[in-house]
Amino acid sequence: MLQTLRQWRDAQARTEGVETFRVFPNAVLEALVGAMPKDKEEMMAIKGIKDAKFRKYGTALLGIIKEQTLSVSSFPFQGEGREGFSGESQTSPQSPPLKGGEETIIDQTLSVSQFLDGLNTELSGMASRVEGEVSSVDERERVVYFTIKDSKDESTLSCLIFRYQYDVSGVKITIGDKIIIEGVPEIYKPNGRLSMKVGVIELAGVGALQKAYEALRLKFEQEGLFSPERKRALPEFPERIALITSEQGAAIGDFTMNLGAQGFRVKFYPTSVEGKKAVFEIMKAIKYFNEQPEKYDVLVIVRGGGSLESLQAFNNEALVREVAGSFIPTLLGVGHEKDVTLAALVSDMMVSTPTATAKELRVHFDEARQSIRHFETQLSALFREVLSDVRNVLGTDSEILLAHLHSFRELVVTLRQNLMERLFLVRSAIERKIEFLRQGERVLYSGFGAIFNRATEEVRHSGERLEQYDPTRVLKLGYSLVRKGEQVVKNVSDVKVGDILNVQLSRGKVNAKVEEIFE
Amino acid sequence: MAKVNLSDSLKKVQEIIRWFDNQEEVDVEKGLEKIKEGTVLIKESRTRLKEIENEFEVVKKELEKE
Repeated sequence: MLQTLRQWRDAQARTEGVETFRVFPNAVLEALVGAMPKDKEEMMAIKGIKDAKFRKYGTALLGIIKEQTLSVSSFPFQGEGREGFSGESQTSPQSPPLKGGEETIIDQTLSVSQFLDGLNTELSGMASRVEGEVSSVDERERVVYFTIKDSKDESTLSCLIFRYQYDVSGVKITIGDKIIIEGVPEIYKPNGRLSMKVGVIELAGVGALQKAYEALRLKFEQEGLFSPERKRALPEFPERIALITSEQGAAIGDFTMNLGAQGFRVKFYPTSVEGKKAVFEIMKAIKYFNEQPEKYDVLVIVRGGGSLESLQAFNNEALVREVAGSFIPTLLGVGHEKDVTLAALVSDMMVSTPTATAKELRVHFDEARQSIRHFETQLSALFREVLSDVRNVLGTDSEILLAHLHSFRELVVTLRQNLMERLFLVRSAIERKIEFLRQGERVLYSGFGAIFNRATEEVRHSGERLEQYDPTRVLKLGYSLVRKGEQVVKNVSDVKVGDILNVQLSRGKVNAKVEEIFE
Repeated sequence: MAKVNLSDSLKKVQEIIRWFDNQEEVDVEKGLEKIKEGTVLIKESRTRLKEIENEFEVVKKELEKE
């Protein structure tokens, strides 16, 4: 049962072009096997199945479970719970047994439309991969109709593919091509014809792939997409990396392990890396990163090695053009057995493995570390040299300075001696002068004493003489001095009777009136 | 700290070393200045080149949130 559910789940994922876990993770499939739900209610009780999932896959799942349980496989959509087919509610908790269901189908008359809707619902769970030879092609504006036939018994299958998917497939089919298609069968109600709604077309066989590869390679070469002038240099020290690869497999591990701790900021967009689903996803991822190309230094796409068939996505025209048109410089590390993928050829730089890709990104960081060590040694040696120069210069300067100092000292000694000699001479001269002055002083003293004595004698003599002429001395002898006014009276004629005369005596004065004059 | 441009820093250090090689007689003051400049550049580059864990961000988680 689990195996059947897994096969159904994987086919569904392929048809939708999504990862298998997006349809149902293994845990939910295991829970389904454990619970074996018979209706919507029981199925919705399982963790991981909600309204949206049930609407999308509920009918198909209930069908598979019932089919497996009752070993009914001839017509897989028998039974109740088929929305749009039996007309019964899927929510009915009391689902009738298959027999009852069969009776219900048989008993109930359906319209053609109802019947075809029911068939289409069942067919939607029958996604398949079919190989055949193209027997007709009708390319319309929006859809390409074609038929493939079985190589053995001429069985024919009508197919259609939307133009966008056809273009992205990168395969231009012509009658006689052997191809593999992936799609879901569907009945076109207006004419009741069954057609395969194709999502992916691939060329079958290595020879065909090789031919397609060579043709496309020639086409790109003629367009100049491989020319060296188109190649942009990757940044020397990339830091912001846009990474596209699968989150499963060895490539992502090899890549991250070999990056080393360089402080890269890696933005990882997980995609498939094989099959047509990979084309859509990788293109979507490249577009996503190129919406803001200024945010990334390099766009890295890695995948482990593989055969031409397994690397078909990287030789797809639409994908190759997307790589060539990236605004972010591209680095591709896609392994290959023989021919380099076309996506790698149009990239700005290609290496052969995810490990080599990581090493390419870190190589300049490693080199820079070595350079820095080397520069440090060199600068340190240069510093020592400069210091040595400084020492030499200082040594020479100090020698010159010392020589100057020595000369200066000698000069000072000489000057000092000269000064001392001169001082001695000056001192002798001064001493001589002092002696001379002393002698002069002595002479002066002796000369001055004689002069003084003589002057003293003369003064004494003059005093004596003055004493002799001193009128007061005569007065002491009893003479008097008579004045009239200020005038000394020497003659009687100077006076007249009645005059008042001043008489100076030895001691004191008297006034006397002239009473009589004697001639 | 301003973001270090490793390419520029390494080129500048190389230029400094070349400057010394081209001098017949090194001007001591200028030489010391150059060595100082080179040492700063090397220190900055070394800091940038220290082993720093890579940041890893998955895009699809972001898209799922949207």
